[in-house]
Amino acid sequence: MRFELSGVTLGYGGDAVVGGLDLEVRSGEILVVVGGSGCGKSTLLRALAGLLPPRGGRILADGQPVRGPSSERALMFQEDALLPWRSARRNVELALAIRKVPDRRRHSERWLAEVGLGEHAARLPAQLSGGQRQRVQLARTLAAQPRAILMDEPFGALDAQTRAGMQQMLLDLHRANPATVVFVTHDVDEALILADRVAVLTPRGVEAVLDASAATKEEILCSLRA
Amino acid sequence: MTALLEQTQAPPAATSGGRRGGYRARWAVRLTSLAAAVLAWQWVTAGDVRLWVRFDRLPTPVEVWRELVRQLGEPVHYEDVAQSLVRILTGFGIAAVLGIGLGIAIGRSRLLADVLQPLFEVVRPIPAIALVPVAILLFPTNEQGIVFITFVSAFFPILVSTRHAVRALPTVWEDAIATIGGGRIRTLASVVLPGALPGVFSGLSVGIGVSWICVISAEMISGDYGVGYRTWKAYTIVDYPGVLVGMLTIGALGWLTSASVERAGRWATRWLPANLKDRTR
Ligand SMILES: Nc1ncnc2c1ncn2[C@@H]1O[C@H](COP(=O)(O)OP(=O)(O)OP(=O)(O)O)[C@@H](O)[C@H]1O
Ligand SMILES: [Mg+2]
Repeated sequence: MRFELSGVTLGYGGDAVVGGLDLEVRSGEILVVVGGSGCGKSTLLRALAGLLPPRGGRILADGQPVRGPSSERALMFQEDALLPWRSARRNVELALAIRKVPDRRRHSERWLAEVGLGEHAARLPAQLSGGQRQRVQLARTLAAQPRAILMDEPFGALDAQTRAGMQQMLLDLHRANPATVVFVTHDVDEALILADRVAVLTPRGVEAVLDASAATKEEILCSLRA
Repeated sequence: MTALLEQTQAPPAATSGGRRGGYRARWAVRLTSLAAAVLAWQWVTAGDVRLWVRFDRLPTPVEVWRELVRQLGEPVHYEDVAQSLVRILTGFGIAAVLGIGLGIAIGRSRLLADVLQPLFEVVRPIPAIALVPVAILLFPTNEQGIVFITFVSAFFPILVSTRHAVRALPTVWEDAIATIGGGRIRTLASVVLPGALPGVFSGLSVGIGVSWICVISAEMISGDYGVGYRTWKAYTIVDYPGVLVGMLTIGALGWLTSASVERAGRWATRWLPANLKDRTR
């Protein structure tokens, strides 16, 4: 799935958060968005998901204006978005039930195993750690098999080793099934590991879009400071 | 006076046996307290004590006990209990279905809120029992009137708590379902209803309590059977032990119905962190 944003202004209530956003997300690429806290990264993802209509400008997905949420553009939230009364497995099953997939139990256990939580499938969210809950949410998002995966700091609560494992899993999955990924982080190293391209976001808009194979950490940090 | 300033020695703390023995000791205290109250009751009633409050008219616990045993041997007692239970379960059941349904509808739709809310706000402040004359006018039979009063009394607490619970749901749950492709029905069934259950059950708890009050009062005013009717009847024929047995029966049934709702609520919300803790304790 391909996104085109031109002159997009986003905000809540009376206040605009970011204005003048121009950005293209190419089909099948991993675009990593970096930016300081509060600069509007989550807001941008909500707009791409169709949860927040833009105040101005246009957001196109495959040439069509984004009008509302759709299973084609699944968002993995930064905050806890699991249903607390459903076990990890039943949270993942929800995505499968919406797609009317048969044999949900086995599939959801496979997705949980994929994120390293096979043996915790029966636990409720309250019985999991913060990082484990994030991974269940990741499994639920992946189980929806969207054409665009919007990820909001998905590995923020993980230790370095688990995080490296998850990054590798994401790259492997992407290689096997190249959906478009928009990945938000404020970790520049993570951006360089995952990205095809890195977009630097500031409250004034997209400051720069850099090719990850050519860009250096210093370049990204420099545009972040600009 | 130095005598006034003299410090009285504090009595030594009652030996409670520390934390381990505490459980039994506390139950002993509770049971002793109850027994003492019954003894005091026996003493003031058997001794015809008149201290402005006229205990001489009140039946003694022994008389009440005999009356209770007598009534437990008679079918009419069970018919009364069954009749009252049918009334409260019907009224409360209708109130639960409509209260939860309309509470969700009002919580979710601004249009429905604008249409229905004003009506409810006008009727809500009227205590259900004050509707008895209207109920008698409206319904062909007393039975239906009593069920109606019971329904009205439970309906509003259930409606209001459901609406609050629906409005208080975190939007992220709903957004999460929307972004994996869930529609309206899915959101209602998988997010709104289960997420609102803790609030819904606090409404149901309040509702069952007030509907007992109302079913008993309505029976006293216009019933032909039922625990409330029987209690009032006993009063009018100066059968005071019968009155007290009626009161005790009402209390026991009220406790039973409230405890059942409470239990169901704990089961339905067993995922709440507080209930999870209870389970592992
Ligand atoms: N629901 C909301 N209502 C009003 N303002 C909001 C809302 N959500 C976010 N904001 C504001 O919008 C701005 C951008 O928020 P956003 O969540 O997009 O930041 P972010 O880049 O994701 O930050 P972080 O890295 O800390 O997650 C912030 O100033 C925030 O205060
Ligand atoms: Mg954010």
